[in-house]
Amino acid sequence: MRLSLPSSRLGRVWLALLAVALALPALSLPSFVFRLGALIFIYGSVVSSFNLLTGYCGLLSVAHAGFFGIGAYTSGIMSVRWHTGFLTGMAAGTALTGLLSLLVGFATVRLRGRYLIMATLGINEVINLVMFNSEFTGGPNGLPGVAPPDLFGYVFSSTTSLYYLNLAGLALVTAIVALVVHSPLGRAMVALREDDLAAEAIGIDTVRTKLLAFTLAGALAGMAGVFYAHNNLFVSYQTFTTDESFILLAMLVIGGLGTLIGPIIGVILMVALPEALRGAALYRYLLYGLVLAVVAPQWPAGLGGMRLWTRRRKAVPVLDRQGGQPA
Amino acid sequence: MIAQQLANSLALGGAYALMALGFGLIFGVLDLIHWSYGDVMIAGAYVTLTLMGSGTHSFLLLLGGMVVATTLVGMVVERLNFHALRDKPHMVILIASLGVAMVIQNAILIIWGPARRRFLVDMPLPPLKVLGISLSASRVLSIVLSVVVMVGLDALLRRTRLGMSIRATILDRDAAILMGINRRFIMVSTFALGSALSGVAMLLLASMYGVIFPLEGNFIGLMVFAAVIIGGLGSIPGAVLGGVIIGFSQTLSAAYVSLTYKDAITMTLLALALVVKPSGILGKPQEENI
Repeated sequence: MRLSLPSSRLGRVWLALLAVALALPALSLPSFVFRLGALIFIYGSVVSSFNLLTGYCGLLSVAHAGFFGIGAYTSGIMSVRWHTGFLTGMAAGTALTGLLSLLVGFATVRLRGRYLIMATLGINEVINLVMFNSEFTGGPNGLPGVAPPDLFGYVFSSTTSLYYLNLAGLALVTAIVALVVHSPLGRAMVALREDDLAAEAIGIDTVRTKLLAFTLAGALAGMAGVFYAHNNLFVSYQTFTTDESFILLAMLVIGGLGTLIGPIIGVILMVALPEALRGAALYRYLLYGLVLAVVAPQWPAGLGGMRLWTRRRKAVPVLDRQGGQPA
Repeated sequence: MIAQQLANSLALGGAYALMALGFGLIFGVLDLIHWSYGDVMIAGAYVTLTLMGSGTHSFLLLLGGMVVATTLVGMVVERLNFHALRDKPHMVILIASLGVAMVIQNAILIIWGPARRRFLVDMPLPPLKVLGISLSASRVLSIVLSVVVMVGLDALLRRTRLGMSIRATILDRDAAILMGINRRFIMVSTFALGSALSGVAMLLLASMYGVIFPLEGNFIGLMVFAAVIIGGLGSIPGAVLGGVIIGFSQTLSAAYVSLTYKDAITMTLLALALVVKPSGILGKPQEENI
């Protein structure tokens, strides 16, 4: 573990971000800012977990919105039908999504690049079709009436308390991702991303690494889903379509694959910007598409890959590396 | 009843086979997935409908319009998505291609709105009734036309210089270039050919369904990917086989299993195919790709 936080420039950036996020409610901003903030924290968690799989381990999956949704639906259904609490829902949502993600990883362990995308695309479609068609999930009408989160008797119902709860969620997910990335497992993931044959040659168990990446990324996405369900109080299949997986990818790519700060920058940009252009809601998805089609190819390092955030000299962006996986 | 469903499957399968062929040719030559394939098709359909005005049009006129429109839209995508990014790593082109698909879908939504549009075709054939099977004119035409186009394509690929160059490029791109084949020319003409095939298929689908809608391309694109993967990426007969399998899977699962889960069944088939044999039924196993 080498996370020499406050002394490094990176650590100062993190602390500054955290301080701003913590202090923001002191300003008397309109409450929609904090609702937006909570949404940014939740999506920050999802994209960070996605980053673990795609940015660090190099497995380009497009089933992540589906995993996010499984977590949200698990806890949502438990809350609506059996009135379980937030922590119970979180345990169940995280565990179930991790398990399903492990199964997906197990099924696709031989696949790379475009084959993995195709397979995960199909998987996200199946997940979404089940959400849409099943009686159990509320079908096309969605699942209303999810209880607000509660911890040890305290109910998070005010906008500010939800803001802080989701900030804590993001901090937890980011900390877990940082711990994993700086552990031997994280280094194995990066080795796998760079060149899986070479990784195997130096004794890395590539199958185990892939399965762990899937399990961890899925579990964290599921956990973010639980936060989402209890924050939104309503779950709909529309939030977890394959297109939403592409949007998560757009957030990750613009933020910077394989950087810890990238997902957060990407989410702030891609959630806040459309909100600022509220009148042009129709153009939101067009904007996401343009980011993937135009910005990503010209700027493969993303915002998170800029020197401002890293101590080392400019890193080679993940997307520009020729080795490793053929797409 | 079962004979009727099989005939319906064949009609749908014919259209999917044409799309899978076009997609497979483009994939073979570029060695890249054309993610916006389905969206290009539907964009072509909207452009045709707009230029011709609403109302019923003759099949041949629409056929001409669709082929020209999808080819033009396809060429724009080739230029911006594949030619402009040709020196980038595959992963970058892939992500850009996902973005292009989103841009086309949402441009259609913005320009033409989300509502379904009626697509009325004046059929040159009467409906068919034999042996207790009744097939609508559009289904008969789908079977006939897809067979005709496939035979024509086969002749093109086997007998003409262009066709042989395309096959040579699919087989070994570097060797083909060394033999004096103009790579850029082959790329452009294959893209045009593949897009034109999707135009024919789109017209067949639209005349069978009677409506088009903006996100249809997304859905059809998925089915085409499934067809090509199941049949074998890079194999021309595999594309036809995969298309027909998807036609059967869609029709039969809607008729006998569940209408709501027919797409889920097809997607499960895709995932299963990838897990069991990623190279597809007729594809050659490629170590570096799986």
